[in-house]
Amino acid sequence: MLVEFADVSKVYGREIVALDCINLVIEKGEFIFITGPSGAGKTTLLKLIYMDEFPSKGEVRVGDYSSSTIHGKDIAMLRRKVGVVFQDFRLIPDLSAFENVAIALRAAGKKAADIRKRANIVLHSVGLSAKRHQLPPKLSGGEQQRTAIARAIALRPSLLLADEPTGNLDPDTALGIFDLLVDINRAGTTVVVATHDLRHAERLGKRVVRLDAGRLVSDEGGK
Amino acid sequence: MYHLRQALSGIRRAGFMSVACIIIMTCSLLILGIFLMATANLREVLRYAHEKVEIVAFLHDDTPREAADSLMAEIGKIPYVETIRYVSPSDALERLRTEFGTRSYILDALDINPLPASVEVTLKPQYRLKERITGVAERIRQFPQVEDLSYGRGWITRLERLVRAVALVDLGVGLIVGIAAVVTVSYTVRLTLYARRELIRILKLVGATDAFIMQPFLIEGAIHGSISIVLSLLVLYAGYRVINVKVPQAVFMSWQLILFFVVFGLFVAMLGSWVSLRSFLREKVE
Repeated sequence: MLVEFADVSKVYGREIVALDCINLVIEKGEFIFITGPSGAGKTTLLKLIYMDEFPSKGEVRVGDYSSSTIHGKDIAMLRRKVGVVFQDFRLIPDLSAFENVAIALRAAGKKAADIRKRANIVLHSVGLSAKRHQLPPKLSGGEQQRTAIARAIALRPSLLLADEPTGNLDPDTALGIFDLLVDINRAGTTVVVATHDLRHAERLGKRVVRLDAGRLVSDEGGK
Repeated sequence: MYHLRQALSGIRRAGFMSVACIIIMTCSLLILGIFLMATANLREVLRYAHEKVEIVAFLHDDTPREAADSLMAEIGKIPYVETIRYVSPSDALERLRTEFGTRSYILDALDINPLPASVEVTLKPQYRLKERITGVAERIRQFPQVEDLSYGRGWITRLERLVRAVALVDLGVGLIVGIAAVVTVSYTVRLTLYARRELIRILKLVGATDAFIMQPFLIEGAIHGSISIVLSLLVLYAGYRVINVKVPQAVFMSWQLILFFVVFGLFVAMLGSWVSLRSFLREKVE
């Protein structure tokens, strides 16, 4: 899924400029890091992609959807094609890992048998088969993030967004999560990771877009 | 099935808030129920009064019985007429005597019977409306045997005005109670939604449509509503039984009114849930 930012600015309230005239193209199948200090606009940029926010100026295009024309049900349809993972996992604490993954499938109207099959497959692919009936509080941080990733990829999205996915994890666990994201990318999903931690970007040798105070200051590496 | 399970687990999780929601809704419905019952009883009184409406045609003094009979036959041809009864002067005097009771000796002082013969006419219940009665009365007035006519025109008008006023008050109170119930229910529901805000956010994030997210909450609202309806009907019926001991003529809500009450209660409960859901769904994911 192609993502394109055309002269995008985002201003909160009257004068808090989160993003300032961003032009950016993310190609299909890419693995890209968005980095920069806190408050640089990384999270806002991701929100504009899954259309939780809309540009104050300019246009964001994600596949066939445009921020200028999308509305109502189309936002839901877009989000079925865009998986999102957060630093704090966003799992429902009183539902098992399996149920947390099944939610995404159920919301998309899948049949019960398909939900069971697909949820088991994705949980297996993130290495959580054995713990699928555990509640999130009983899982380690890394396992919770794997559950969240499983939920995000359950509907086979063409784009996966991760906002500081390893922010709450120790370095070793973080490595495992990044390896998992690389695997997902190899399988064909475009992956966009927002992080202030540049080491992973350097280690993986992927494209890195740097933001500072809402401006795109550099765009290096990759293909 | 998924939605029903979600709704039930939602009620369980909300616990105290569910109970609060049911109590508030039961109270709102009780207010409405008391009003509906009072209205139903007032209408019953009005119906009884309407039944008493009749036209009395007083005949000329010298009208022979045969002429009275032919008049009655003519009146019998008028549509809407239900009963016709001849009251002779002596019958009328006898009636007066009964009404005077112990003071009926006053009537003994009379040398002659001053009361005229009359014909009393009632209309079929569905036609006991002001316009019909006036129409029929004016036709009866045309007959030569008739000297004067009485059909309580003034109080019929007042009665019908009262019926209309009561219907209007009905509507007003129903509307006010309805709005108040929707507002309180929506605020209570908002509190239960607040506790499940995270679930709503995640559902939005994974691409659930608004309809999908709303369904379990609307079912939950309907369950709250049903419980409140049953509770308020039980309380109302108990109250009715207590009053019934003192006032045997008192009536409970008719089946139609109960049906309206149930539909209204469910509508209010679901509308209340829907109103808060709308504002929650408009919020951002993050």
